[in-house]
Amino acid sequence: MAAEGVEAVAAEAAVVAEADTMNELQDRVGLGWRADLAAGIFSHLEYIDLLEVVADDFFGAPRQIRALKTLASQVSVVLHGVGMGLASSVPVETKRLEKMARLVEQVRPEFWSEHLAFVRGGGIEIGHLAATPRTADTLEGAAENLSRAAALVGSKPIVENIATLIDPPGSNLSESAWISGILASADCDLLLDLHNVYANGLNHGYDPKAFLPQIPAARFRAIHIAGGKFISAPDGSQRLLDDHLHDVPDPVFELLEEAAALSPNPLTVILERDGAYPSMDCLLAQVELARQALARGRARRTVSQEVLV
Amino acid sequence: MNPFDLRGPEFLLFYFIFSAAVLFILFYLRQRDESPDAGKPPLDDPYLVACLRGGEIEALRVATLSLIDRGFLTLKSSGTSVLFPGVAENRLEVKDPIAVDSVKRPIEKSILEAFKTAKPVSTTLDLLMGCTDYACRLEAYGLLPDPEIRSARRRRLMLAICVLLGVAALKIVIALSRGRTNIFFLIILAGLAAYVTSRTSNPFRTARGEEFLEDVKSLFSSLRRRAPSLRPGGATTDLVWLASAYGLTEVPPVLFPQVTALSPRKPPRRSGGWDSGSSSCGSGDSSCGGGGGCGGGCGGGCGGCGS
Repeated sequence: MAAEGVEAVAAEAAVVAEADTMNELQDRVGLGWRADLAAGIFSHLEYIDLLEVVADDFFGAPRQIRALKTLASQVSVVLHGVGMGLASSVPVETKRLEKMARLVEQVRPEFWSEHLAFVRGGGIEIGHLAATPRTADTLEGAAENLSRAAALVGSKPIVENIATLIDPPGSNLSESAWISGILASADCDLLLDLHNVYANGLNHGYDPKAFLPQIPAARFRAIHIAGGKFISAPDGSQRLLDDHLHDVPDPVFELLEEAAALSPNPLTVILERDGAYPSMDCLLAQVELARQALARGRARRTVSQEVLV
Repeated sequence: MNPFDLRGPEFLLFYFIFSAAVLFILFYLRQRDESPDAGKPPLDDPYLVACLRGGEIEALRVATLSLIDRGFLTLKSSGTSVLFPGVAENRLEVKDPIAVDSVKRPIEKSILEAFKTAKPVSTTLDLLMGCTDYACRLEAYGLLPDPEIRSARRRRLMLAICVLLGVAALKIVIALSRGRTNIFFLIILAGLAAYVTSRTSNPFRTARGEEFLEDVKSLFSSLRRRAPSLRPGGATTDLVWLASAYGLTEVPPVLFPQVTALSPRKPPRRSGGWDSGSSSCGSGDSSCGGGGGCGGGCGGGCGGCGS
């Protein structure tokens, strides 16, 4: 009888352990690859789960692509595009898609991503990730561009929400509705840039935390965190500029916790820093804060699931 | 057309092109045979890169520079000479005897052990040759030539020189049999071709090693640009990666004056070129004691470290 009791307890423990293992999401935290950070990155690879590389820097550069493959042999790499201009009713340039296709074929990243932004018109590059008017037309155009990208590159990109200092004129859809519509139409996942959410919330007067539940959390796949600075608008008001030159502010870590609490999928978090580099210790401290925020969010998610059960 | 019937200047031109073709074939065969993918070494140790670029002595120099910059070693002159320009006079000494416990890499421990008392820089580093397993690891990854590759290179070189000299000799015999004695330029050209072939047929790195080093340099290209603004004092790892990937000559002496005392005296030739063909990488012990000389080459490992 005692033996049967022990077996029953052991069996129950095994079931619980298996359930715990299945619930354990393999979230990862990494950095955006910047050549200026190379020494620090290679000296601290054990603290970095993956690197995000700006794909456009490697288009048409065979030697650099080989170096990128060497980088990918050291640590997981994902590709991030900045120049396609997916969020437009104008079709994405085929040559850009072909370059991305070649790079993806050679590097074989876990995924590639691009911005839901407008970057050129009439052949003129504006040199900026501009917000597109949020309308049904641009939603449809972005979805078509994403379908073309998926067909030519061979895999769908993960799309990123962008920051904007002004609400795009002519918009008749909310940002969350527009993004959700594109994700649904193109069947794509989201690279959720939390500093962009935070900046847009502050700049356009809404609660960033309330924004997150408006997008299907099942689409969250990757997350960007970054920092910015406040600048003065012509009317004297303050706007938050997403410049990637400052440390990640606390509210962004709070948003990360929220996203982790909402998302049913493993998340890949990338810390973006484009200049004014602090010490590697400082960057790694922010990576650690991101891990802690993820852990808090996951703990909340586990508790809420248990309550539901 | 029989090339041996060509007249003097025409044959010299033919022989020049023929020699270039032989060199190209040797290059092609190296590229073909020395490029199988044996994986890539982890890029978590800058001294491995330094060894790939300049041999084990370069790894020792870079590690010494890093230890000085981080404050573990201090440079001293012998008293009469200026500190840096008289390289042979410069001596190094550990600042704190327990420093050896503060570093984690075996090569750094070896260097700190060796400089527990003040000793001349270059001769002491020379004695530490063979104390690391970097060359063996690079051979295992196919980035430095292993005995098999060196043997293949040697066979090809012998064959190439035989062909080059044989063709020249045959032409000389034909010319002499036809009563022509203007063979001087051909002898010079044949000697030159053999010399160039022997000098270029056994590069320090394999074709894969060259590519890997190029990749590493590409990844660290920003460091070279930022070299004039690097911060001394060991606050970052920029210095050690810069020196490892690009060499001590890229380290600005204005910011890091100690680099002058560590500058290489001659380009690297691993263990005297062809003579190292018999070595093997059996031993893996890389934790050398200080002071004495270490066993030479990969086969010796660290067996010979003394006190």
